[in-house]
Amino acid sequence: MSAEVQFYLVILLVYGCVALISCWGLDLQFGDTGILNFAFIVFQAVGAYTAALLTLGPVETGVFGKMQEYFWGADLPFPVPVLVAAGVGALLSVPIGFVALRRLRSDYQAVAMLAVSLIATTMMVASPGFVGGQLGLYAIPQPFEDSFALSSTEATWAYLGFCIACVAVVGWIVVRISRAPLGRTLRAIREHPDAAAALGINLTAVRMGAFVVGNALAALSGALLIQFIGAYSTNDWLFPETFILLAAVIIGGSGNKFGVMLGVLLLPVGLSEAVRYLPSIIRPGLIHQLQFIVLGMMILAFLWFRPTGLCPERRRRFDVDGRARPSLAFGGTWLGLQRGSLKRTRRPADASAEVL
Amino acid sequence: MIVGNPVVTSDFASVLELRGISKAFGDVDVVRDVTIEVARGKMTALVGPNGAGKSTLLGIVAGEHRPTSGKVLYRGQDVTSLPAFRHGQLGIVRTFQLPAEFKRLTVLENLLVVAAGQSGHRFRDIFIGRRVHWIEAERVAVARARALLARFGLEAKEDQYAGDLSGGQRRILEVLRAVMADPVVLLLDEPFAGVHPEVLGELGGFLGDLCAEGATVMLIAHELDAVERHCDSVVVMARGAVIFEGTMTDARRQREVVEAYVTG
Repeated sequence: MSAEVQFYLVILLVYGCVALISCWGLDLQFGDTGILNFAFIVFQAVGAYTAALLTLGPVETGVFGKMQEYFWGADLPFPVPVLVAAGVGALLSVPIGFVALRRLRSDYQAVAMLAVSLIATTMMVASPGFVGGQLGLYAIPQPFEDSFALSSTEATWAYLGFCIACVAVVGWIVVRISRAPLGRTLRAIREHPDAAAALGINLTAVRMGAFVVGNALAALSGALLIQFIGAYSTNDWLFPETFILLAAVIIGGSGNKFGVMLGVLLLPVGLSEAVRYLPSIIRPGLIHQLQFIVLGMMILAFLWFRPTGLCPERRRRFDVDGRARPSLAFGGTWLGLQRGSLKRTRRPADASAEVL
Repeated sequence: MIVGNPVVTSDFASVLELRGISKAFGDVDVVRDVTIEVARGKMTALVGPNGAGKSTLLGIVAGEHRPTSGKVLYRGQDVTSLPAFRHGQLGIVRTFQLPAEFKRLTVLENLLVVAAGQSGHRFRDIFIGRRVHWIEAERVAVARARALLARFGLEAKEDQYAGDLSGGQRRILEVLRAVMADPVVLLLDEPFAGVHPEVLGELGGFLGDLCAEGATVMLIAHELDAVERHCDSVVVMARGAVIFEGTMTDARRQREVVEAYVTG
């Protein structure tokens, strides 16, 4: 395999890992708990900027002035910046969640989150001295290349290994949540918050938990992304980016971890890679813009014809002795697929309009 | 035994006391100066024509609405300003006028959502708890839930989505779900509506058994024959106020009660 093909393959796989971690986080919030977090991409950005600041070191001044602008920097060894980034994402979720999740109904929560996303982007653009403004941060050192003195190719493969390890850990967490009684509590809140509260479930606390864990995963994915690509700016986290991730969750199958993986392969990875090789038509950049139109149409088509996605959320059954029936992985009878789940959508009556 | 953990008995003869409860939505007085005591271990029916303020009163007791004035005392403790979930945690569990089942959870899962004695339902359990503990607790809860379903002939439907049940079956499921939380006070908003007459008798008997085990039931109903058969006492409301307290047999003899039903 040539070096170019290897590099391309690694890029695809790292992007896939990053998208999968973030989509699992989004699915925990939206698919399991019913929180429509339109500010999800902001938390990915928080993770990315935090990891960058903790890797770049203090602001350097060259003969022509500052190389790039940011308010503070440190040079911590890998993977400390990545772990701290996830923690910062979790911490920042608390005040935002406290405002948005405590009193607002779910549709107003979505509006509040969208407002948070727009405010965050505008503030970052307007404050170039904070984390580089519209130019963003760049020249972020590659972790394995610098820390472990590996060649460029070896470093990218090593980094892919680290990303896969992160996916494994995150997968374990989300599947554990899904299978535990907590998963049932989350889904009960999603289905009927008032009834869940009447049974003694503290909606704010449980929703906050899902919000914090989901956003920590978003921040982790952002940190992994920036450590790999080495540059990040406000253009990378505009609010439509959240819709790409949301589309992957809806089309793959919200509430089904394997379905979400399938959605990630189809959309953030598949669609963006497929259009990369299409010839430029009419004018440059048009294909890229058409991507969002295709994405929007796919979301509409799925919400209309198959609201439960390609792999619907699995039905939890129990054996005669009261044990949950085993599933091999990702919350399904066989890799998340139930018999007939790809043939037809099985959903209870009156539930079709409640996906969004 | 229906209730998993025997209901903690209280020193108070009346487990629930409503003192001067009033509730207005804007200029509309929905509940007016209601003062009633609900006896421990008894089944009390709240009856009255539509718009009498029964569901609002039940919502106030459950913590869903704050009263404009007045107090709700639960085992002597003022719970008026506590949020709905705290009422649930204290043992005041309610069902709703419109079916409020968790549609995309199976029938059995609906019963397991807040099954008493379960672990593994908090985020910290996920990261530091041992899975074997919650699996064992879940097995106990599943056995109890299946026994409850069997009493109403719903055992064959345990793997169905709750949203696929008939209206009457959803009512029963909601009552059973509330019972799984080991309530001290069970507030039921029209539990008999849409339930088949034969099952209605079984439901009434079931609620009676609950009371015999120490739970207190307060329910809203329009099926006056069922109320007469199963409830210990009845509170009649009209235009937001209580117009009668006593037995259903006595209520039928009251001209004011009959007129309230005829004229609203």
